Amino acid sequence: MIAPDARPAGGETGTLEIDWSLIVRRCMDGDSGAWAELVRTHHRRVYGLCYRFTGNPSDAEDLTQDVFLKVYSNLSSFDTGRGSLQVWITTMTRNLLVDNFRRTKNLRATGSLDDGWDNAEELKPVDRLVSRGPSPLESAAQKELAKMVQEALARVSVELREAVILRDLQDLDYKEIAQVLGIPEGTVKSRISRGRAELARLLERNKREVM
Amino acid sequence: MAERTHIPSSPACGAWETLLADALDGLLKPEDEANFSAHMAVCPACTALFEESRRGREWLEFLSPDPEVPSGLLDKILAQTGPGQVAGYGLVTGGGNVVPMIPAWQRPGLVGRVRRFAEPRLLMTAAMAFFSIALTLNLTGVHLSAMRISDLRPSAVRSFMERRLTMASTPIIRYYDHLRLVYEVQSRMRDLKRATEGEGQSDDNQQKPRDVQPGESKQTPGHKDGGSRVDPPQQSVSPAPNEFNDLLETSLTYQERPAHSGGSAEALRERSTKWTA
Repeated sequence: MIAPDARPAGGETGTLEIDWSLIVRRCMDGDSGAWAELVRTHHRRVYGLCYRFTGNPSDAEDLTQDVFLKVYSNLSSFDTGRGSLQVWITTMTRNLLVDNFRRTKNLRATGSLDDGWDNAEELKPVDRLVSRGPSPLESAAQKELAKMVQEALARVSVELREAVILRDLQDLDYKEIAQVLGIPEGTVKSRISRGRAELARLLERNKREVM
Repeated sequence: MAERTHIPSSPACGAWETLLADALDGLLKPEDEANFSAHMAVCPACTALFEESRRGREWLEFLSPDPEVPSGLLDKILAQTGPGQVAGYGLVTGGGNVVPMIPAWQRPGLVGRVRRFAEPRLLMTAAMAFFSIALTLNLTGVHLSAMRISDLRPSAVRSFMERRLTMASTPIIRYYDHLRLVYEVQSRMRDLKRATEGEGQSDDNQQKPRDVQPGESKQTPGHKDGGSRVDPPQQSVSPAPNEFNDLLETSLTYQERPAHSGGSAEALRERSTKWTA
């Protein structure tokens, strides 16, 4: 469960934002060090959002690269008055994800064979390397559950999925999510609740089918 | 258990739903808390949603460790973007104003572009185009495996096309040549038939054809004898087997024959008029 106080206080965010607007300006002045710092700080979050949304590591990697191309091309449109750099980058990521989702809709409808292939495969070498925990058995079970939840999450309807990911996995607050999605906070809250409920239903239905 | 997926069943349920997220965060205000509990006590659908939502959030904790970022992703991004490294993706410097976000399909990365072109329908279109071009080339006799760069010179292409056209026109010329022969034979048969009929009417003029056309030696004996009708056509057709055997010769002699055969036909006609006269 996410503790409400796990997020940085507003004041800290404010001071960080000043730094980011300076860094953005330096990037625009052609400072490659500033750009590298920006990418290094944000690429994990962007990759995480893409991966959780698509459920596919290679798609997530491609999309992350696209996001930073887009971010770099549009640096001049960043305005601190309209939100933090994180919210701005998240908005771009989300828009790209939704575009990609719409574009590949037909592809997914016909690509069920590939899904089967993906599901059948074992833990990826990368996952095996990073697996940590007290015992290999426990960590394997943990991985298996995470995989199951990730697969179920990828089946939750898009508008609910994005809200849930931004809240529960990206730790944005409701106001930021409302900014990213361009909807009122009340709608954000009810989408999050419905998205969580849909996920639980999907997972519990799976469990019933297996048993 | 009633499953609520999207639409709250009443306005009260809708209001309750917006409080649900805060309730699970433990951030509900005291006045809202009373309303929240009161509604949940009377609405089984909302109670179910509360339970599902709580469990869904617990499930999501399995995803709390961030996915491992592929090694080299940072380097890939920095290789593609950044000052001096972007070809065609330079900064959009449009003053300090907020520029509306450019749609993804207008400024996608290279990977995105490649992925979009890998759609099945586009691939199928490309495959169909390829096969139709290949089929056309195959039918026109162009073999890509046997092609050399020198074959693509304009003069080489031209001579090839001329050769093709000549080869295509030869059978057409032969066809008309054969047709001409058939007509010739038919007209000659008609003349001879008429001549035979004329022979029956006036026997006195039997010798006249020989006198008039001494050069036409081969055809006259049949007429003279007044025998079967089969003979004269056979004689007139006699050059034909040669022509059928050697079609190339036919096309070569094509220019000469009209004058000759036309002349003989005319002569025959002359004879027939004389016989009937």
